[in-house]
Amino acid sequence: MKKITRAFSALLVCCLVPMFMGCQSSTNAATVEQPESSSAYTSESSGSGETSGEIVTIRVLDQNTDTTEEMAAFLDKIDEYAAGVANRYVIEHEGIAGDDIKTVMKTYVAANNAPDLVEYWNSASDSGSMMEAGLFLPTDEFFAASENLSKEDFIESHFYYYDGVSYGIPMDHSSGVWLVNKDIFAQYDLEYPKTYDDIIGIAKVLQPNGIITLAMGSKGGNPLHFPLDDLYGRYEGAEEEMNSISTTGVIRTDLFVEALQYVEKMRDAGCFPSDTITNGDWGPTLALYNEGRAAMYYLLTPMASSLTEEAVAWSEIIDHPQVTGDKARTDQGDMGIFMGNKAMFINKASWEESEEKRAAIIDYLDFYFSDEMCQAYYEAKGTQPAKNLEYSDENAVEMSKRMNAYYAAHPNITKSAQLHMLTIPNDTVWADYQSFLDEFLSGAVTAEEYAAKVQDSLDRNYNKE
Amino acid sequence: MKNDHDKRKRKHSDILFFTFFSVPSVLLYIVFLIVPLGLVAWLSLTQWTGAGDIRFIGLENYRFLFSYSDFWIIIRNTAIMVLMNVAIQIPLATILAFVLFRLTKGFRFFRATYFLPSIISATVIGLMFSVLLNSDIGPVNSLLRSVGLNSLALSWLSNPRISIYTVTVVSLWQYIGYHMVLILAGMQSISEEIMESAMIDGANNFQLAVHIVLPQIRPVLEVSFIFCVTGCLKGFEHAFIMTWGGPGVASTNLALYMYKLAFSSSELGKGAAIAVMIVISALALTRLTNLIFRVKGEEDALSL
Repeated sequence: MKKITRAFSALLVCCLVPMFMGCQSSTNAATVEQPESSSAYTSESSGSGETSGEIVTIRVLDQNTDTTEEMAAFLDKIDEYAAGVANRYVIEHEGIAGDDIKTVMKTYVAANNAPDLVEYWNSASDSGSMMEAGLFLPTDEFFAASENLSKEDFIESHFYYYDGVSYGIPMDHSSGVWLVNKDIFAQYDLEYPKTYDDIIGIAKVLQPNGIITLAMGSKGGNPLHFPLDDLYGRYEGAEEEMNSISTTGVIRTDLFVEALQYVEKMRDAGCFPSDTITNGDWGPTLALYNEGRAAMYYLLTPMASSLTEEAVAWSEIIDHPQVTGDKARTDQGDMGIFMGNKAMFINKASWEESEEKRAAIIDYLDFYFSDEMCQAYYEAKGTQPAKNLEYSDENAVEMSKRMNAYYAAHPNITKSAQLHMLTIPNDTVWADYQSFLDEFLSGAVTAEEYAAKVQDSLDRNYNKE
Repeated sequence: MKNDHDKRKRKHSDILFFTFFSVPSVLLYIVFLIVPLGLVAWLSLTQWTGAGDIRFIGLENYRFLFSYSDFWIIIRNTAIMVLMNVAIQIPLATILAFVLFRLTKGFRFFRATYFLPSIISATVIGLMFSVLLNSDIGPVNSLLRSVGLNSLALSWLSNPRISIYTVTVVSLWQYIGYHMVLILAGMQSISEEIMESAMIDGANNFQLAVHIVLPQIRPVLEVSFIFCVTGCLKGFEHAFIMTWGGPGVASTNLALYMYKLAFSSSELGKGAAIAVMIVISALALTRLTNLIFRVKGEEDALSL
């Protein structure tokens, strides 16, 4: 009996060992299979082709997920294209929405498994360490190799330069507006605000009635850092201060503290929700406005497609509220909200890996940034790509159309406040900046303390030499 | 003589046999636990953003952390989580398990009901409580205000003084059922004869619980304590979802801080240093739990 048991056990092990080894060897073959949250576009011949060196696979990590019908249609276009090129190369796509892509990308990079193409934030505050490490290909090299795309095809101001080199092909051209819920304003017989002081006055009426004046919170710094910079940027000299952070190593300035103190004043006046964490981040903040709980909303185009039909109906775009006082800029009437902070990056190692891979990358990007795909991107996301193009509004998101109409009717608005996310030169400092903002808006630290904490982080983590 | 030789041969053959079968699991243990732990310990002595060169900096990450004021808030938060869970979760789970153990009707229904939250994803629970506890539009505060308890309608997740307690209570609530099932299983393994003898001797439920059940399930309680303590050290989903560890670091524990340092701040060296601290804390607290239970066991044995 004992012998039988031993023989059986030995047989079991003999079966398990090859199985284990089989798992190991099947990993490579499985790279083009479709994982749960991603898709791989391939053909029957791809497996054999890859091993022979004729067909390569390009891994694309971006923020395109099929969360809406429009996005699904956009992804279908990529799918169709991938099917057409399957005899030449395989497109392995992984879409991760929102900030979660940062965790995924950082994990890939740390594991020396970076994708060939990645849609990421185009500034040192988010991708500085990767730019520093030489992970990405300078865009000049790509444009020199591409026959269909050139640098001039994109909005010049949306290129970001790290030590004088541009690494990301600009992806988006976002704009922003202030929305008011006209029904609430009519109900309480209120005039639309023209200044930030007016917003505080409105809060005195709305807060006792259980209405949140401005849907704004801060969770991981979102979305507060945008309107904060918008307010700060309306002070004379703020733009120069922000632009010189990398050279001066100074972020705590009197003007910045003054802007923070104004936010403090707004918070104390009840302009914001009392629960700034739970109502922070993009979704919850917009939910307050969508549900009619808030009278005002600071809208950026990436959120335009998330407004409900009811919210679009009761919304009106107003002129940007202005900062008052001696230090206020005199050209605020010409200031809107424009930015481009996402870009497509090419993995330098992939580019240099082989001619086939390089050709595949060029082909995919030529397709992805083609006029047709840029139009589809606009229709799916509500945000115009950074490619210079006459975009058709025919199938665009309703609120995006209205935003375009607003800016078309105000041709004088050509300026925009600078953003800390584009000028803070280090990703650790930026993470601290955002985390401390939650603390600040909740009242745990004062404006002075917040600025001092961010400055301390800058002093510790950034060497301006 | 021949017998001795046979015995030695058999022993030798047994050793070979057991070694042969142990090698795969030992190898897996080394490859997937010991080696990564060693790498994390080494990484904690470096400065690395995840991209580019790794720079050896000795104990600088630890020196920074111990001199950083926010780190001590995080240590305090972790201690609060561990203490609250140990002091509330395990006793409550034990009481619930005993009530179920003595229940004659509805046993399965209540066991399933109490256990249900622990099988739901912590992310879902976190989102659910974010909505419930939203101080502007959430039903909890609406209810409190409707019954005139305005002073209790607090900003549960945005007030830095209470957010850590809110997050801890939610995680504590979610996993009570898990510990209850563990402890209940221990109770159900108690010999019926012992229980019947005690009841024939006239023991009431309280006496049964204190003098019969609790001493009998001491090993299970020990395991439950260890799971509870180590769970607090490594769990971060609730705070991650509900508050992002905030405001600031007001509800951040060690595990969440590790994540934020590594993946948000791109400071993998400091994140690894926190990971090392979590491992050391878990080992120390596990050992402490073992000791406490052993001493208590010896005391009880002597008193008999």
